[in-house]
Amino acid sequence: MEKKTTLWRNNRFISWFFGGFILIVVAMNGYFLDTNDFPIPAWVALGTLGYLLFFARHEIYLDHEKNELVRRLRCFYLIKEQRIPVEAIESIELSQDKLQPRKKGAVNLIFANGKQFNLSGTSPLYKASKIARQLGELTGKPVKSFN
Amino acid sequence: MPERQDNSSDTSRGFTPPPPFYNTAIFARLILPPVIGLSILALLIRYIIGA
Repeated sequence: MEKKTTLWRNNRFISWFFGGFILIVVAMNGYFLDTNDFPIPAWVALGTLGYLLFFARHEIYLDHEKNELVRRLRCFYLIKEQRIPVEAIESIELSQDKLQPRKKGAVNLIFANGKQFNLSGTSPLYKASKIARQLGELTGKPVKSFN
Repeated sequence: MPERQDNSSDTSRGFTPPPPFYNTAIFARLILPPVIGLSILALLIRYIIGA
């Protein structure tokens, strides 16, 4: 049995391709920094963008060994990790985004005291519903949808 | 079913949902290292090699 099931993670192709492209441009500018007129603040901003695109890893997965739902963000080093025990989740809610109800949705976890926790921000509806459905199947918790 | 309800009530009553994922400290930890690092690097290159 697999130790973890990834529910969502950022697109690796976009990370490698676009982040790599920007980092190459930044590196070439850095190499010729003494001879060109490219402003340093712009070079730093572009480098930061490339760094974030290339190295940021954001994922939400279900840890089967510890029976926890994990959301973690790392960028070279671990920046933040949130662990939510599956037993604490009462139900899963797929709600519409208020601004773009036809295009985007949010996955919320509902706890026993009625408190709501937004799991992944808002994402395209097909992705959000896939996360909610998969999470419901894996944990056995009821999924409440808006329709 | 009753067993599952017992289990869930034990854990869920003692569990408080975490605060929202993103906050200022996280953005600082994400953005400040490359900004500081690249700024120092750029200044060093300009200083050592010279324009």
